[in-house]
Parts: sequence; C-alpha cells; structure tokens
Amino acid sequence: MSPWRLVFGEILFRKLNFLLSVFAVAAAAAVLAGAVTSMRRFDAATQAILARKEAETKARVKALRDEIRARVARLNDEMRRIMKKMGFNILILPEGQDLTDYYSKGYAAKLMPESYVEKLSKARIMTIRHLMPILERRVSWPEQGGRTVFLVGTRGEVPQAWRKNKKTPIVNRIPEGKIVLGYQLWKGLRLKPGDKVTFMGRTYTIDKCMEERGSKDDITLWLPLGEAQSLLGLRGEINAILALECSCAWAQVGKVRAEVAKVLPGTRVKEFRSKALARAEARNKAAAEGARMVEQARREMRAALAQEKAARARMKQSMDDFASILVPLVLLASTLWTALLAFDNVRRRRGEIGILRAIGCSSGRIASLFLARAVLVGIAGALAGYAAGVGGALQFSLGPACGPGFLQGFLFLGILLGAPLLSALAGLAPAALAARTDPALVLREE
Amino acid sequence: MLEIKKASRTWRGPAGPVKALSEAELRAEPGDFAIVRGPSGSGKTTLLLLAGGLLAPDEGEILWDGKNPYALPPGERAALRARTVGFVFQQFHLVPYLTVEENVLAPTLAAPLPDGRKRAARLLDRFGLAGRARHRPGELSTGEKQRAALARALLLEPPLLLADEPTGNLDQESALAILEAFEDYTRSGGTILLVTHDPALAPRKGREFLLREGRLREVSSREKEPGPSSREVPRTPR
Repeated sequence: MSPWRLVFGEILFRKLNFLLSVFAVAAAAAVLAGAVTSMRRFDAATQAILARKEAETKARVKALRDEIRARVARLNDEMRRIMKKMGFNILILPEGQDLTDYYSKGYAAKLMPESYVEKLSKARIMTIRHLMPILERRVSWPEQGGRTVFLVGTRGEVPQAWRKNKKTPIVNRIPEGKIVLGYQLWKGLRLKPGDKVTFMGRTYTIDKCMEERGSKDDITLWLPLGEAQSLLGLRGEINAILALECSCAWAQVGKVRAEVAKVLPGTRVKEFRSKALARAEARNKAAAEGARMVEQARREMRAALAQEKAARARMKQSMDDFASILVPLVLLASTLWTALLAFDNVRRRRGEIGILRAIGCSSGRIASLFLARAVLVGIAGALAGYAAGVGGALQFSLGPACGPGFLQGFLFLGILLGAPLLSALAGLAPAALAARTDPALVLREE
Repeated sequence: MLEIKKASRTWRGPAGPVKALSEAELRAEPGDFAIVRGPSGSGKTTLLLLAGGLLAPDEGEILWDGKNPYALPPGERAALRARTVGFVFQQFHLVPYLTVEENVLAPTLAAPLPDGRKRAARLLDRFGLAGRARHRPGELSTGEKQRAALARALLLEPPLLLADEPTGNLDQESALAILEAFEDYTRSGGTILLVTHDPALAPRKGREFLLREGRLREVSSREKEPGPSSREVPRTPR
C-alpha cells in the first residue's frame, strides 16, 4: 500500500481540519498574490495614465503650435494686405553708382550734391515723401583701437514746402553736438545716453542708444549731416537720399524713377527696407511670441504631468507601506494557524501513530506522512489563494483595465513553491512531535 | 522464539516511580501459546510492549530468536519488528479512514510485500471478512473489527503474535473464533503471548503465567483450576 493512500485517506476523513489549514495558507497566498497583482496593476495603470497624458500633452502642444502657425500665416497675409496700402521706402543713389558695389560695401561710394534733396523737395512729385539726405562711409574709430564702424550723417527730414497738409516727420534730426550709437557700440563700450564719447578727435554727447537690429546699424554712429561732412572732408556732399513711406505701390516704381530722373538726371532709384523687411520682422515677432506661448504651454503641461507622476508615486508608496505590514502579518498568522491545526491533527491521530509504529513504521515514515499532508495543504492553499488573490485584484482594483492578466508566471511559480514550503515549515514541529510519539505510551494509555 | 530474561520496567508516575515489571522471565518456543493472566494494573501491557520491541526494559533483555531488538538502532528495530511481531489489541486500533482490506495491508507500509493483496484477500476470506473488504472499520461489528486486526497482524506471517486482551470487547462467539484462529496460528509454528485479566479465557493447549504486582511466574498444571472449556469462552463483564 502506498503511503499516499494514508495521506489522502486521512485528508478525506478529516476534511474540516484540512480545509481550515488550506484556508489559512490560501489567505496568506491570496494576500500576497492580491498585493503583488494590485501593485503591478497600479504600475501598469500609472504607465497608461502617464502615457495617455503625455500623448494628450503632445497633441495639445502640436495643436497649439499649428494654431499659432496658422495665426502667424494669417497675420502675414493681413500685414501684406495692410502694407500694400502703406507704401514703401525708396533710396536715391548718385549717378553712376554700381549696385553691386553698393551691396558689397553697404553704402554708395559715389557722391552727389546735398542740393539734390532741395531740388527734389521742391519738385512737386506727389508720390515722394519724407526726404532725408544721407552721407554714409565706413571708417576707423581711432579712439577705439581703429575698429571699423559706419558713420552716417543725417540732417533729418527735408520738408516739402509745396504740400498743404504737412506730415509729421517720421525721423527726428540729431541735435548738434550729439551722437547716436548702434547697439554693439554702446553695449561693447558700456555707454549710455548722456555719456561723452570721442570720435575722430571730436567729443559728442550720446543722444540715443539704438536697440539691436541685427544689421550693420548695430555698428553705426549717427551724426548731424554737417558734422559728418566736416569729419569726412566732404562738405555739401551726400551719397543717398532716403524717401520714406512713399505713397504708391511698388508696381509703380517705374513711374517714380521717371519722375525722379526728370529732376535729378542720372540718379538711381531702388526700394529700400520696406514691406518685406517689416513683414519679416513682424512675422519673426509673431513667431517668437507663438513659440513662447507653445513653450509655456509645454512647461505647464509637463508640470501637470510631473504632478500626476508624483501623486501616483505617493499612492504607490502608501500601498507598498501597507502591503509591507499586511503581508508579513498574514503570513505569520497563517503559519501559526497552520501549525496549530497540524498539532491538533497529530493529537487526534495518536492512536494511529501508535499502531503504525507498532507494525514497524519508522519515525521517519511517520514524519513524512505529516509533512506530505502539510505540502498538500500548501499546494491546495497556493492554488486557491492565487486564484482568489489575483482574481480579486483583477476584479476589484481601481484604474484602467490594463497590466497583468490572471496567469503571471513568476508570481504563480513563487506562490506554488512558497506556500507548500511555508506549510511544511509550519508542519515541521508537529511532524517531529508525531515522529517522537512513544508508541508504548500511546498503546498503554489507550 | 521469544525470551524474556529478568526484564524489569519502572514507570514514572505523578506519585513517584511505579515498578510495573520486576525481573520477569519467560521463554516461548515456536508453537507455544503463552497466556499471562493478571488483574488490571499488574503490568500485563508493559510485559507485552517490552516483548514487542516497543518499550525497552530498564534491566534484563528481550530476545527474538536470540536477537536483542533493543540493541539495534530504532530504524532497524522497527524493520525487524515489522517482520517478527504481530500485534492484536483489545481496542483493535484499526485506521478509521482506511478500508478493511487497506487496514490489513497496513504492515506493507513498513515491509513491502509483492503479493500483499493476494495474502490479504486470503486472510479476509479465512476470517469471513471477504464481503467487508471495502468497508471501513466504523461499519464493522466488534467481532469483525478484531478479526480484521488479527488479519493485519498475520499478513507478514510473523513468528510471534502478541495479543492484549484480544477478546475483552467480544461476544462469546467472536471470542471463540479469535481463539480458534490463535490455535491455528500456533499449530502452524507461531508463538503467541497473550495477556488477559480474564480467568475464563483458556486455550485447549498452552502455558499459563500469572502476573501480580509486576512479578511473573508460570502456573504448573497442578495449580490450574478446572474451568470452562476454551470452546465455551464466557464473556467476562469488565
């Protein structure tokens, strides 16, 4: 006869003891499986929530970016339309000025008489407004180690006396004895309005420090025209006339050129820093503002995401703390309960132990019968506890339905091996008691 | 062959040591039916446990065919006991959740027997329990229980059978059947040591011993009082 017959027969005979033992092990296994599954499910839910929120954030940022792009595009269109009506700037260059040379140097090398601007102002050309004579040269600044700068002499706008409605000048003249500095110059020299500065042997008071323009203007000094002519030894000479906000469309520039040619034969007329530049600057500003808004939105969403992450981490920590107390407690209680039931089982089977010893069963065989029973209790408890714990966790845990399924390989294996081990440990002392039961004592008592 | 040589045993009780057996001497040859009589508490069960290798004597020795089981390590002693001694108790000590057949086969847990089932079937048939093989002890009468216990004791065909009040719980008919089975066993060369307090229980052929206050002595044939025949074993009120 197989010893297993004895083990299974006894289990079926004393079902209640067995079931109570299985229940104790199952409770421990269920708590462990449930806790682990809940944690894993919580982790999976956290990942899913964060991934969803991140995707939402990206989508919202993208939508915002698209919207801003669309708005910038609309702004461009609107500006283009508006600027059609706003007119443009033209530049009148001296006779014989090569445009390639002009572009490469950044100013006209040729000169023309300053009186040209007077002529033009009296010529009653309707499309031309806000005339401004300029003398511009690239020079060394001896007081600053010979650094290269652009010197621009200007006398402000020349009024058109024949116009009935006088326009407000859009460029103010530079007062005598004053100087205006480009961004790189005042910034590099740490100067400010009101400071004194010496240029080419003469001292000027700084009238104004220009904002950064990102062009050669940043290394330019502006002086009254006469002062510049004097410094450069070019009395009565200019090399450009700037006409600002001319009231015609660029398509009519040929007409303007013809009208100017009548007054100033040989001069060259070209568009100068007008709508394209303004539009680009406006677009850049709008785009920069849009980027700033996008960045701010991204930062806010990232902060919200980080907050959510931190909240989930805190919840997880709380769960961990709770489980780290509950699981060992339940394991301990289960072990004690299983051990007590095993002791009770040994007590009830004293007569059986006595007769088995009498017919020749060794104490090792007796112990193995009780340990085998304990292992079966562990296996049954593991299966029941795993099913209850994981099933319960899957059924009742909060959060989106994601994460581990019912069968989790390592957890199942761990519980299937751990529970019988735990049960066997709990049954160790009772099995030893059974093995050490003195058959003589038992048979004599009974 | 069973030899008990000057065996003594003292139990430690709450009121101090109690001498259960004092220098007991007994020798039973194959075919002997030794019956030890004595009142309750005279040391009968102690003598039986000593003889069965379950309780080491404080002094003296026990020999099975000249071999002292208590000189062996516990595992070897258990294995030797399985092959050498069969036990029959007043309380039967059947395992309640095993069938009658499984109870009879229980000794094979200690000493595997290739034809155990066949032997068990023969024994069950011999003791009129063939129809009860699949029943559990709780479904048997007391006589059937004792016959099942006897079948279990005889499964490994041990040379020595130890019986403690085997008929104490039985009616007359059942007691007679058990006694007949014992006589059959001795006729086939087995040795029986039976302890009882029942003066009426007497085999037709056997040696009789008296145990009083732990002292054992053989009763000579002249001392034997005439009593009822073994065929009329009366049920003694307990």
